[in-house]
Amino acid sequence: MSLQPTKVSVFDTYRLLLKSYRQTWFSLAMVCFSLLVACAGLSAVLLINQGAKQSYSGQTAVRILPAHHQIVARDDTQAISTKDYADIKAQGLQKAVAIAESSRHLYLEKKRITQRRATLIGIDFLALLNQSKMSNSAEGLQALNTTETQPRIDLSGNISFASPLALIHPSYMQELGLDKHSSLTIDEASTISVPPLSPMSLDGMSDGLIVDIGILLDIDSEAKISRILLLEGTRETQIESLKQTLPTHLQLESITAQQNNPQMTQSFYLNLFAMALLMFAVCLFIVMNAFNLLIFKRFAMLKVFRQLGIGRQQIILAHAIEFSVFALIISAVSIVVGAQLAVLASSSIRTIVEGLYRVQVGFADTTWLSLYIKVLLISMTGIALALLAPLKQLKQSLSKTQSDNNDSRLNVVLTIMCAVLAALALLIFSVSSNLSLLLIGAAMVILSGCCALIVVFPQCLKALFKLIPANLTLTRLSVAQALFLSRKTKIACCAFFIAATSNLGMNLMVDSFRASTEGWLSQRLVADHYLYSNDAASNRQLTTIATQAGVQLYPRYEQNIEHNGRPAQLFSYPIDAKFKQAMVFASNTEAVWQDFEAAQSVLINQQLAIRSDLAINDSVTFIHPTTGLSSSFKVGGVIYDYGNPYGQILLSATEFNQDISQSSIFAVLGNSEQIAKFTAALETIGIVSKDQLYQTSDILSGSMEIFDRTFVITDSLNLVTLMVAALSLACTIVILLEQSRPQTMLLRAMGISAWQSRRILLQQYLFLCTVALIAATPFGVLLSYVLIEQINYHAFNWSYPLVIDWLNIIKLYGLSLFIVVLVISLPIVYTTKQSLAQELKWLD
Amino acid sequence: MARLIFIFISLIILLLSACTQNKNGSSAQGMINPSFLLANGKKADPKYVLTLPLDHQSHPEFDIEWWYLTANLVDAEQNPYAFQWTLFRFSNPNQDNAWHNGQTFMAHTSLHSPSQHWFEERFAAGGVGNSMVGFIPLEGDTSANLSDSSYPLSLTMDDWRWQAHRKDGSLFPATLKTSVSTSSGVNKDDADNAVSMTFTMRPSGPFVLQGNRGYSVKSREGKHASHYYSLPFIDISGSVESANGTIELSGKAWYDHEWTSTLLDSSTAGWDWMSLHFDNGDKLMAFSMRLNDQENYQTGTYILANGQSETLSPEQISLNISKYTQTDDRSLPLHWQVSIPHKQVDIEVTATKTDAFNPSVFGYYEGPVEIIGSHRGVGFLELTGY
Repeated sequence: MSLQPTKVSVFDTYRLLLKSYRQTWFSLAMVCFSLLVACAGLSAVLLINQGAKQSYSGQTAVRILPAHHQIVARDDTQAISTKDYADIKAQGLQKAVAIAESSRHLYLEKKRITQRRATLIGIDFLALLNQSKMSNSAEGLQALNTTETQPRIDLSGNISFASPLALIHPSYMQELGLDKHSSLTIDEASTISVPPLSPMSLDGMSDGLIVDIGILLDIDSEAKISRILLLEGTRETQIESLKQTLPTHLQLESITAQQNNPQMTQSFYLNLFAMALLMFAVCLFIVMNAFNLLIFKRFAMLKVFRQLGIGRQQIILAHAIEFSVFALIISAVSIVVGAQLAVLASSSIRTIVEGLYRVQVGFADTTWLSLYIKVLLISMTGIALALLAPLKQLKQSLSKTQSDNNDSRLNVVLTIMCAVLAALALLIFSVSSNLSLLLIGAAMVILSGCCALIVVFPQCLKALFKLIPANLTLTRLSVAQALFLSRKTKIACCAFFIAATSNLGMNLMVDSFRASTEGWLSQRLVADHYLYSNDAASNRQLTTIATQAGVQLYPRYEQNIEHNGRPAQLFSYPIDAKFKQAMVFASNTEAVWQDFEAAQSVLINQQLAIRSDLAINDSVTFIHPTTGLSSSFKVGGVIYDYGNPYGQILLSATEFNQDISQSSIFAVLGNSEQIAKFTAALETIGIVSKDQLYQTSDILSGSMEIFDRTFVITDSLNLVTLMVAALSLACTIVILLEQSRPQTMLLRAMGISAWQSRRILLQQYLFLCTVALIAATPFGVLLSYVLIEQINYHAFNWSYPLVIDWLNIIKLYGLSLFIVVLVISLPIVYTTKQSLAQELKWLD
Repeated sequence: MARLIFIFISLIILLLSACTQNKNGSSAQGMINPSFLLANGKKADPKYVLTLPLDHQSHPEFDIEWWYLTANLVDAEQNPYAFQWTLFRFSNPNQDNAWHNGQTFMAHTSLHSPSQHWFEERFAAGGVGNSMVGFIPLEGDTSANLSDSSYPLSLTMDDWRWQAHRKDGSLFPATLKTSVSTSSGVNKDDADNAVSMTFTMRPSGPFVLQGNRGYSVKSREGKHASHYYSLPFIDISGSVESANGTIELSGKAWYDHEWTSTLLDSSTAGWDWMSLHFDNGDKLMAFSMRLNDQENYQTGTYILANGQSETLSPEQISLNISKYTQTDDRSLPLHWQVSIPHKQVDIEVTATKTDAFNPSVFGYYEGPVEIIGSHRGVGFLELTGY
């Protein structure tokens, strides 16, 4: 009789693994917890982004209608005419749709109801109804198949050419306190009516109204055809032919993804998504470590499996099944948790985005299945990547007891990787302005840092060891042990390094942004008070009461214009000395104010300068606010304008028709007595001073409060990332503590108390983390530079100086180490709580 | 006539769909002003003397108008093809601005090969200039001056153009250029599905005034009527170009021009209309209007090969459905028995294609038929309200 190996299937092996759960609950819990954190975070971000994608701001027509090309006027001197449109349609471009845009205040019963102008979008609804279809009788199709990509507007249900309608987003309708029976006008005298309102939830719909283009051109003399969209389905041959025949004053351009989405939302989306991926990546480090721990705990059992004749492949496969089941279950749970997180975050995100960008964010209807599949696929891929190394190790361990360590070869590989990644990142930053690529570049900076860390870690610890005086025996012992540990904690330390680098980078960026904004606001807010009033009737009386009270009143004349096919603001700027001093220039000509006063030059913000490739002494052309004619002005200065999504042109007030009733912001200068008199007079003309007249210091503090709220999410995500990294470290510690028990017990036997032993352990890991933190610092600074000078610059078209505040960096060190101590103390205390007698059993 | 009812019914359908399909659940009543369905424009006048070529032009004072061409064609191997091209004009008083000019145009191109059906629908506002019924120069004529009525008459929708050859205001002979551009995906040049057509149309007989000297009564009570004339004698030839090559086609075409402001009441359920070319050269236009709670109203015009015509009273013609055919999601009467005893006409009219439903914003069936029985021939069948 011969002993035959038992035939055990993969599922039997899996069942055996299931039975071992009682013994390995901690590492399993770590795996599940880290996966849950990773997937829930990812689900929440995906959901939030889905909502953020619905935010509406500018370029609404482009958002609503699926188009990849558009025809725009080359400059403002000759706009697109109706005949241009007819000629383009006559070329057979049935997918060409004319769009007109304007912005107006809305009035209900002669009272203005909009704080800022609503966007009025005119769309050639009739052109949207065009369709072509084809069926194949031979294939037995009874009905024609639609072969076209249809616009997102439900044509059959919402557009009628028989009766004019104004489509409005239900949220906007609610915000303005309207119902569908409200009769809106776009003038105070209620003579120019808007068609009856029809609420409609459209992805990307503007905070305004969508009407038929014929209506808009009819009711709003300022409206003109701003673009002709070529909807999806326009054939390449048609586009090529159009290029040859387009009149010289028009140009065909591709609608880039950036234009296709509101710029701010796109950046917000990318930022949040990058953060989520970072968190996900760090979570996968925990999965990796937790799995290492699991393998360690199971190792004896797995050896028995091998002795029973269960193949290595089978064991690996059983583990793969086990983790697939985890991914299936945890992904499902995580989207529920993620949805809850998204709901919790929704109000603060709304506030943040609205406060910063003046756009609204709604939450989309969630397609749970698609979200689940997305999260599942990402988590499966992540798990596969995370388990690659441990599984390989397991496979080797199950075949032999010792694995080769070849640190020097690894160091060479890592050094090369570090150099390659750094070179690639440098290449990306020097040639690309694509946001996704720039984010990949930022990730490369961090990864190259990781490689560098692994290489320099032992050297740093050796240097530290030499620096510690010989009389500090325990400390020297800790460092020596840390040096030994560094070989075994590479992954955990890398996770911590990534978390620390991103934390440092983000914090430095936010600090710099804060400092720049605060400085800029303090300088720019030169008046004592600012009055916000958009009531035309009250505004007309302001000059009189200001004169009576003795205050100086500076109304801001404003007009929304379009520059190079994108919305821009045209504002007046006072020329008094105080205001001149308040201006913060990025660059300016020597005679900037002289030219500005003479209306020979204008000031433009950094956003417009970067977008339109303008510099001082260049010429900028726009429709003059008084003459209505296209006028060119020299750029006298480029000014900082943090946080503004729009291009801005500042022009001397003398160039406006100076209709005070249309202004909405007034700078007020005067002493306290005069202001008190003015405040009292405001009440008599219906302006509630406590709501509408702000002290400059209040505006400043309010702005900074909004600013700080804005970055709460970033701070929270950073904190979570740090905690997750610390947890990853904790997993590694559990394994290492098990492995180093004999050494620990030897020390205990030599008379070192449990507490001293714990201190030594804690010190060892703190040394590791401190070195990781120090190594992370230059990379954190580099990351913040990349975020400011590359990502912020290309996403928002403005940048600000990098401010490195060492006190803040030290605070971050403290916080990071505190979190580490907090998290790793638990396994250290847990594993060293046995009595000396119990521990000494290990020495047997 | 038939088109008038289908427009009306379709508008009702559109109104209903507007009320039910609104995404956010709110009622969309009022989207189509019911007043549009009422006769706001000028009424058809029995005393009106229809004058050609002047009446080929647009009658913007009327609510609805169409120029309708249907053609039964064959290729060199005698494979049957069918073609339809229509320009509709709607008066739209709610859009009386420079862009719309109170008018909306809609055009349809439909082509049937033995195995395929191409359909394209286009809309345009009356004030833009890409769609019109007017005098424009011949292609290549650089002396363009749109205000000069000495140019040939043209029916235009974007690059679709019915261009008369003569400068006397007549519509025939003419060249019709149209296309169906089916493309899919983003900027994919899906040329395989696209077809472009050029046809030359030459009259081979006289115009026929439908009803009473062009005043066509629409119901038994005579409350509703239109101005309606046809040219059933057209020799048509041309080519269809696609990615697979060019096919030369020729055959017989039928032209209708009708305008009215008098729409039928809400009891109208639909309309079955046919235009037939008999092999002996005679022509027949017949329709049956389906009314809820009322007897169907059937009438027609029998046209001899020499152009002489006779309006048929309901008593003189019978149109009976022989068989319904279940197509995709609707049952359509595609088989008809038509008899006109005093003309010795007893024929079976059968649709040769089941996939001839035009998926317009206002969907309707418009497809070729073959005729057997006392007479043989080909023609077109139009079914609305299904």
